[in-house]
Amino acid sequence: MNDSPALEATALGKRYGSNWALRDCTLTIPAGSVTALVGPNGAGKTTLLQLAVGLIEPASGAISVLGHDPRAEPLAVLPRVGFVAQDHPLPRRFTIGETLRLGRELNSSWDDAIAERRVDELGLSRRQRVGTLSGGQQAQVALTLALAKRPELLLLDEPVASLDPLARREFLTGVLQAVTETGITVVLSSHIVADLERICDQLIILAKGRTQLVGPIEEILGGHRLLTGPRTDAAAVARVHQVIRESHTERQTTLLVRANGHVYDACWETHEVDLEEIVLAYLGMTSAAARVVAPAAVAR
Amino acid sequence: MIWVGWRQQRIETLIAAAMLLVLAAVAIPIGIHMASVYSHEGLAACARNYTPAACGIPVGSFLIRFTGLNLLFTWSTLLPALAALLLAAPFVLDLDNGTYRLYWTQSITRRRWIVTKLTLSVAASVAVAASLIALATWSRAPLDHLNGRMSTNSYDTEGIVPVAYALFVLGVAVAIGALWRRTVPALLVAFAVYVVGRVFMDSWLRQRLLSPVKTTWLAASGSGPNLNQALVINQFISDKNGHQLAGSAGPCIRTSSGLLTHTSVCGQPLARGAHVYMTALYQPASRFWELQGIEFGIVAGVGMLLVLAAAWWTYKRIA
Repeated sequence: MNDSPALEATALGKRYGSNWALRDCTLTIPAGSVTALVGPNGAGKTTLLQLAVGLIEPASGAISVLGHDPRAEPLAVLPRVGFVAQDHPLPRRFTIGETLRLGRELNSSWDDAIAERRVDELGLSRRQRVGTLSGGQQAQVALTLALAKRPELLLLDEPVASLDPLARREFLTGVLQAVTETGITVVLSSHIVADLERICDQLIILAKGRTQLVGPIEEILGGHRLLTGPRTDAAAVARVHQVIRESHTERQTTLLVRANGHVYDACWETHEVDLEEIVLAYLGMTSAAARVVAPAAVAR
Repeated sequence: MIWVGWRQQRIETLIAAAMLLVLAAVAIPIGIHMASVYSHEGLAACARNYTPAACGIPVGSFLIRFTGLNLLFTWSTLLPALAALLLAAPFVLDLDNGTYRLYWTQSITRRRWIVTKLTLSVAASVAVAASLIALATWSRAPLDHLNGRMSTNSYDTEGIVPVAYALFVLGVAVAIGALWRRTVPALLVAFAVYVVGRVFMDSWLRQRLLSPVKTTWLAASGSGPNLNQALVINQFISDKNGHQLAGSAGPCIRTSSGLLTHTSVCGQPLARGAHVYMTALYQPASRFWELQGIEFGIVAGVGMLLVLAAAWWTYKRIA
């Protein structure tokens, strides 16, 4: 392994016709992190992940995965990256045993022990056909294929979107187990924020093809405050702190701010906010001014 | 990757093999029986030197007796096309289901995936077509001795053109499949394209691949060319220079099954007296391989170009 970040995008863009699926995306995902890529449908999450694994080619900018361009040097990237595409596609006619053989045939770094152990833990028979499995089991088999490659970077595109809550929890537990055992870097996209806090330490918020917020979750939680006070103009606060969202009732103003140091003004009551609320606040606003890149995430 | 590619088209290959086996199970016993009748009745002499008096009845009854085998092989010309359609399916299915995203993110390049899958489909399609050729050529041998190989029911199942049509169907199917990424509609459209292409080739283009031979002879003399085994494009009553006579019978094309001789064509010229001439436009039987070669070049060439186009499109355009 080397010092290069797991994933580095520079002014990355992808266009479909006249429509930018991802635009001007600059971010760094440090090795060893577990990053949640959050945004509504159509925000560009799938596009970013497919760019990372070389399925599509950037229209502008550049992307480097584990120090290599995935399009130019696929064999320097693919063996080191585990990817589970949206809806975890698998050959439905294959049995589980054949699916494992597929992984062995197509991956030089394949580790049979990992695959066999996971299939045993899932309680699946080698002779069962993939097409007969439940959605949750198929997702687990797809994850098994990705993990038995012994990748350094695991990319999961909406892995739990189609799963019921129990299957979702089991899937994320599998990911978490791999993280604790091998220290693998994980990027997983989701439009559901719940559950992510449990396993992720970095957050990227994407909306309308642009990054809205990038940074360590801890700093994001520490840096955002909800201010409530008598109804006033938010301008005074906005001079010091960045106001992400403001809402007013007849007598009261509520501001969600990205605090620049402490909030001293005595007329504001400050509260901590949870991640979901922060995400929603960022997704509610889409002006270009809202784009910020947390310096800590880039500098690390 | 070869194991994966083979595993993905195993069922399709087995279905194609089963179709061949069913055909063989019917054709081989009939073929054996027909060969023994052929030698028992001494029809080889008629194939070498056909005289209406000696051969008319035995050859005619032989051909009628085994007309079923002729019909069987007429229909079996569809077999390589259907097999190639089936063998195109695994490639299109991967694009259709999104499973290509799984394969392309294992530790192999998409180039390798495309080349392996298409090579396996091409190889299996060629193998099916070649098996049909071998089966048809062997079991139809006595019929071909008598009738020649220029009529569609033998021309389309023997020689090399069946391989070309298999490649053509495969190419159309994978090209449409790569563009459309929907398996069943792509295969149905490919089959329709194949049928239209075949009808066009069989009924229009084939006879024009080489400029036909034109021969004029005095009808009453009985000294016309031997058209028994030729692909006759047109035959009509004419003047000495081969110009069709006004009011004479229209095109009088030899039917593909039975034997016809120049003395009985259309049943009428002999009645018109000594100065009636016959003119025939035809591809002689000796041009079988030349015609097959040209047709193979065109059809297989288009097929392989389409396979390459599908490969290129998949490589460049699909994500």
